[in-house]
Amino acid sequence: MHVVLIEDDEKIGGFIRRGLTEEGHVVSWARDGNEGLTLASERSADLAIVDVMLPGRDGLSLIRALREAKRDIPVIVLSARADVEDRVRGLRSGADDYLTKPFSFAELLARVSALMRRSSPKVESATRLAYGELRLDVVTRRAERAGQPIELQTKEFVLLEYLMRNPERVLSKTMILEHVWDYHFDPQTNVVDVLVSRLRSKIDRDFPQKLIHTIRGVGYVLRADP
Amino acid sequence: MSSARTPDGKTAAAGAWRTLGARVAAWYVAVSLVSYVTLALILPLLVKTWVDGEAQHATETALDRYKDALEAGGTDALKAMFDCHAGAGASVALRVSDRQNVDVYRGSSDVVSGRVAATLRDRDTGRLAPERAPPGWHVASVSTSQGRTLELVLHDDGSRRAWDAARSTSALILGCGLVCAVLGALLITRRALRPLGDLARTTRRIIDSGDLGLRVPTRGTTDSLDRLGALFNAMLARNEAQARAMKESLDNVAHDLRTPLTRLRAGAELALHGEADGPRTREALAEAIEESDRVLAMLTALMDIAEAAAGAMRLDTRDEDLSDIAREAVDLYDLVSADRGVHVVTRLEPGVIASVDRARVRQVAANLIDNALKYTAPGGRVEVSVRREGEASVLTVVDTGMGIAAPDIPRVWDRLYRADRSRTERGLGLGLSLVKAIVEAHGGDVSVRSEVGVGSTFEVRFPRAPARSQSGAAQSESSEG
Repeated sequence: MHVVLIEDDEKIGGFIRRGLTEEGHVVSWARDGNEGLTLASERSADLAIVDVMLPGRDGLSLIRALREAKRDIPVIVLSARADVEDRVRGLRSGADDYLTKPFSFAELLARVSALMRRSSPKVESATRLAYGELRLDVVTRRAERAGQPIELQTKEFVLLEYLMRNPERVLSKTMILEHVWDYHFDPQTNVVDVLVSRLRSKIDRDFPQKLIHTIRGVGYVLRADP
Repeated sequence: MSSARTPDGKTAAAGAWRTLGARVAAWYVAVSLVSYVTLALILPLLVKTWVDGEAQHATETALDRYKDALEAGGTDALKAMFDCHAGAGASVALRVSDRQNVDVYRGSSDVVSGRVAATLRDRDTGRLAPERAPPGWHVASVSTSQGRTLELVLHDDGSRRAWDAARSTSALILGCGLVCAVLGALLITRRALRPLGDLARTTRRIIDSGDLGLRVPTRGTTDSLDRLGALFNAMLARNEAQARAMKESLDNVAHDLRTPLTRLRAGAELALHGEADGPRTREALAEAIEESDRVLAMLTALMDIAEAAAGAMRLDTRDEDLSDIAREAVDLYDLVSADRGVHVVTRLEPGVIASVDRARVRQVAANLIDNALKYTAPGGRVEVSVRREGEASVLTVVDTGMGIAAPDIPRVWDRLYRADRSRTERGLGLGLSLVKAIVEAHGGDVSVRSEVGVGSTFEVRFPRAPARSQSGAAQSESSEG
């Protein structure tokens, strides 16, 4: 995948480029808005990551210019302010997703792949999910591990489905809050930890091989190896 | 830089009001001048007209007397009367003519010069011609029953004297009026525009010194410029309070962030001294990330509190069902409460509408529930209720927790305040401060009742939804029905 990164901070840009390259993406990096607009307008670009505060042309007007040129490439906005209004402004200007600085790299990766999936033509419609010895039927809401049925409450089910649709990918607390509760701000609670530990006790307690792992400071991942 | 700007600014400010003062004064003088000139022109004319009228009347009265004398005593009596009249020094000329316009009697006093007499007489008719009389001469004529015509010419200098007197009086009035107008203009301008001058001076001093404590002197009258000064002072007071609140919260933010940043730095430094990639280094890195997340969360919360307290929080207020919002918050915590073994019950009246920012009030409810769960032991109970109380919408969270000691109750809303026994609980210590700040930004208020060992009751009260939205709803209902 060809990702256009538009970010003027050398350090942040360097981190993002390295991380995305390690994930197998091709990254073109523009350090100002006008250069970024040129890069993002190219046919080969699959996704753009745009900082709001940019020299030359700010991120939001860049996105607007892209959309006016009928370029419907998915865009993730990086913004320094967590203000709700700024988020709304970011999405209205044609952005598909936003991340507030500072953010965890894992979360950026997860959002990048979510957007890539969304924009790719084959829609994920699988109703039977499997990971290792774990099975989940989305329609009947039946889960089992190594043939043993697991009783799940609604939120535990929603979280397990989310993890199984994103296997081996770190999901941040913010993403889980958004997905399970539809909360778009961090209420500074441990509700996510509680939900994960409940799910973990049902999935992992009776098995030597643990599937749900905590990545400290980042989030949670469904993974067979530790 | 500021010293270079100051003189210009001062001249500009002073010049501006001087110009206004000069304009007001000029207008005052101009209007006064027009009035005085009009008065000075009209007054002599009025006096002259009146005096002329009086003199004409006197002439006609004298002529009547001559006529009476002629009718009663004939020409001799007339002549005697005329001689007496002329002898008294009056400038008078009399002519009596018969039907054929032939002189019966003609006499004129010595004072009436030949030139005037010639001017007075019409050459064709030989009659006295009043229209040719120079100023001061009054002519009257009358016919007797015998068909004779009496014509009397009487000179009265009063008209000219009155005219001259009136003119000099007018000139005096005009001069005095002009002086009064100029003095009055100066006085009025100075007095009326003094508040503006005060305002300009005070503003300039505030700009120069940055001292927000300065105030415009006011006299406490109902004068509109005085009221302007009072309003200006009210605005200054508000600005001063806001600037002070802003500075305080900035100091607080700086102070509150130092502690976690110190922890972050210390951890990283310690890890640097250890092995390059050992488990302790990884642990320290993870802690560093968690600590920086906490700093970020704290910064966000502190900014929210500061913005709300300074009245700068942007609220997207709509008419919302408070019970819906409370239900969402309870839902967020259902697993946490089950985990802690605390029973959460809800008593949510439907249709309690308040004009609030949904996301912010959800945060309020979530923080209150979070707080209640933290301090309630397993087996305890938390009750969340929403009800309407008169005009207000009330959200209450009651717990059967450890309670708060009486001296600590007022301090629960303070930033970073935690009663000693709750130090072990995780959290930023900002939840309740944020609750208070958000609720007060909505124009509502918060209160707490508590008893040690029994539990606490936190109550949030929002003012009723604005009347316009309620009437709007009523209108749409009535139009449907």
